[in-house]
Amino acid sequence: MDMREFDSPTKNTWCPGCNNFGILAVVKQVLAELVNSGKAKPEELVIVSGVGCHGKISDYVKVNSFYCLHGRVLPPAMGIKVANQRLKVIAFAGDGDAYAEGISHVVHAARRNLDVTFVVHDNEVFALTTSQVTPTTKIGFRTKSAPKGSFETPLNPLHLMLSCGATFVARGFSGDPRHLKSLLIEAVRHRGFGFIDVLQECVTFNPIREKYASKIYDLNKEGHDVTNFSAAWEKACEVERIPIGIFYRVEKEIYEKQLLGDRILADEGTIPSIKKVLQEFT
Amino acid sequence: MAIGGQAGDGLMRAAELTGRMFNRLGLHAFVFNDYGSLIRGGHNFCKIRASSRQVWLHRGSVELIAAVNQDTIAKHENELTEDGRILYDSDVAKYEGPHRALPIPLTTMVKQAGGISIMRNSAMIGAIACLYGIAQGLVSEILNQAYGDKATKNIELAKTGYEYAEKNFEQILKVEAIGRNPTPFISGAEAVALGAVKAGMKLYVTYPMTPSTAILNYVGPNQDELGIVLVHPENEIGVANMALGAAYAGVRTMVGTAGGGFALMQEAFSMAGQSEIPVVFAVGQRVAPAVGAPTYTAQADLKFVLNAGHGEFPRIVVAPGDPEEAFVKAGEAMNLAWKYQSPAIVLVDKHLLESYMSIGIDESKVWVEPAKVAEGQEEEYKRYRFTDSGVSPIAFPGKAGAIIKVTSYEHNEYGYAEETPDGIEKMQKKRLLKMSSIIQDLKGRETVKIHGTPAAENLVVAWGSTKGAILETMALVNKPLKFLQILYLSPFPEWEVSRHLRAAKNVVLVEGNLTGQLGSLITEHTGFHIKNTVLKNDGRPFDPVLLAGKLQEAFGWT
Amino acid sequence: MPIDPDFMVKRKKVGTHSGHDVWGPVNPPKELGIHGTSVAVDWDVCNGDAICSEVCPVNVFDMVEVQGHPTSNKKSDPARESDCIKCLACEINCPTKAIRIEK
Repeated sequence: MDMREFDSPTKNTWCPGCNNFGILAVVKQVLAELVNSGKAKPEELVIVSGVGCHGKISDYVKVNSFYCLHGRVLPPAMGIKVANQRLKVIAFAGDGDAYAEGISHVVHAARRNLDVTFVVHDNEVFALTTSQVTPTTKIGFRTKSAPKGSFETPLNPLHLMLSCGATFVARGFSGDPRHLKSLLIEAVRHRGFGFIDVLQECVTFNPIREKYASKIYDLNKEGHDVTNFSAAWEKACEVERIPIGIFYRVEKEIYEKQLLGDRILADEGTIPSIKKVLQEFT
Repeated sequence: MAIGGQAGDGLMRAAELTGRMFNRLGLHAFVFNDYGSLIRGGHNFCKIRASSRQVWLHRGSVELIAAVNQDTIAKHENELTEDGRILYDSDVAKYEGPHRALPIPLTTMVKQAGGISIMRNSAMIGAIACLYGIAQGLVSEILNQAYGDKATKNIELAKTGYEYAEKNFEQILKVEAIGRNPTPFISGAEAVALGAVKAGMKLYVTYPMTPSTAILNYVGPNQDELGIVLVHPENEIGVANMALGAAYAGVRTMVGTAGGGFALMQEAFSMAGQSEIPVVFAVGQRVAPAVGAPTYTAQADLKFVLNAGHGEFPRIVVAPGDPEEAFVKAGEAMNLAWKYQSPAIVLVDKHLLESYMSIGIDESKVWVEPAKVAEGQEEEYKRYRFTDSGVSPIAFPGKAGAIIKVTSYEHNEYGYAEETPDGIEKMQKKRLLKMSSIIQDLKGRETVKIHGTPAAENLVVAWGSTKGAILETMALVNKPLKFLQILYLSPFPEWEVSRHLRAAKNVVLVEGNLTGQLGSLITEHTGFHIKNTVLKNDGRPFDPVLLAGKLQEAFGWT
Repeated sequence: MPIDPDFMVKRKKVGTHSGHDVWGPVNPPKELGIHGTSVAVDWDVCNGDAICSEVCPVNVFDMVEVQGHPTSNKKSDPARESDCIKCLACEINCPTKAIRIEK
């Protein structure tokens, strides 16, 4: 398959210069590669997206999709996997969707080691609703919802995921789509919860790409040990330089296996007789 | 009889087992439990009733009180009939009143057997069995079935209690097995689960909340036997959204929750309507609003569920009145949800879910009715294809050559977001069009039930678990009475309800809420305004004796 | 050195290629000029990276072979520049700033 076969007929409404274009292209390439490498059939691919500018990705990729409610990306992803664990699920959320509205689900999906890939489009602002503060917005950022500048300490998504027991924790940068592509491939390949926080600018409300670009460096090229939790934690603390790449990666049994073994519920059509059950009640 | 003690004394189990004993003999039994929102202490009691005829409710007055503490005697003595007796743990309680005392040293018995306090029940069950002339063998059988390998001490204590009663107490009466094949002794919770299973449910998603926890308590340990999987996610919003995902991927799913939990699911319910993903919601009512009285029953969430989820879209709402109806209607709800790709609500309550009664369940009444599935290779699959009925052929991810896009946004036939005026209205109408098909389907099902004298001028109208109280009340009054029990609330079966209302001279509405919610629904759909109402919201089922008096008043009988 | 943003004023159209204009001077093989107008790629700056064709959501570009150019043997050709939706992904991501989108 060619990535172009994933082009959808829908007119794209992202702003000119939106970093989501880069992410979109990467996603199409990765989906094509999944099919071409025999890891999944096209009909087994499912993307789940929430509500926000990021969410429109469901409209822009010609693939099975579940375009859900704001903040509620991971519950349906879990439902889809429990129903049919053969399906490959890539879930997308924005920073508001993931860390504000939907944070309770993010915590538990990571804890369960749900076998899905979770990509957060982290532009540190609620963009689609025209600029409000999110849990990753930097202190001092002014918006209509924080006219004197945001004063809430932003949370560190990498720390959050590490403390919730996520087995694959990574950060990408929309200004380096090729690196992001390699991260996404690794995350999809990872058996378990594959988390990528993608730092990106919002060209309209938070144009920080140039500012971040100069601080970005690839931590995997500097000999970082991805199996070392403390090292991952330390790296995630860095602010003077911004490390991107895989921070932490370990293997742990996935939720679907522990719950279902090899069962594919969607294939189970036999209805049991309840004669014995009714007899027991009698 | 009434069995009472504190929470933690295992009374509900004891009452259930006692009821099961009577059921095994072919009698009809009913067990009602009353408990507060706590784990230990307080006052828990159960009312047990058995008869050779079908019983639909327990009685307020009792002929035997079985008490494991003093408090129970104090609280229930005034319910005792004139020649009633009080069986009590003489180690912890005293009785010197006018009724016949049956002191039994339960605590000592348990200590001597090396058991724990909660086992006093088993000794008590033994004593009760003896008082009713039930063979010891049956007691052992029931305990064996309940506790399996761990039953030894319980059976031993039951024997001790039995022999003590044999030696010290006069039999109350000898209950003979009547020549009738016993029917299941079952609760609404179990019946709802079984109905859903027979209609194809493979996944049950829930978050604990009384009274729906009763379903979880049955389904959890019996997943393998039922061929299903139970998942308990982090919160109700997770529950509902997970159910949507699972149904999207092709698995028949039911959600279990209570009124307050369903409140958290509103957006997801709305999405079920928008995205046409079929899910069944079993909603258990209790005293509301907010946390309310968690362990007490009510019928006050009807309007809430009828209007659940923002926006306009079809939904199915059915309210069974007893476990047999719970079995059939839960199955119907699942089938209707999948046939018409609309969310369905099985509206139940604490009384229905947690009371046990003897009632026949016919497994053949529920089967998997096929949904409209996309066949073969369509030219280009459209999840929301416009059709004459509004129902698009459904397909699930994994189907070769099809791209299945579902969305919470308004959308076009392919499932891409849609904002044009024409596009929006067309898709809105498509969904609402499905209502006609659902109504047609319902016309071939039982949407109401008529009880009593079909030609009677006096008509009682009600829904849900008040059914039991009303049927018992009808047996107490000596005037011809007709009872219209409404099962389906959405779509509303006005084709049935209107004609029964027109045929009646006097109509009384009976509901377990204070605003007459069914009454206003009837007015909305039929124009009929029922002026005479008997309403209450005190957390308890109607007492037939009191209800008979109220009906007398309402119908103006002297 | 990035593409000259004022090329439409400073340069002359010297030919067409694949349906778009070519802005001179063009002296192959060492000087190839600017291809395209609304999607303009300076072939003398283009290093054949191809990130533009990877990120373009509407498949504007084809990577074409050239011979003997000092910067690279591959150039990004805006073969379908009329399809451009002005997302700017190519312009933003080009490592040598060889692309200019008419805004």
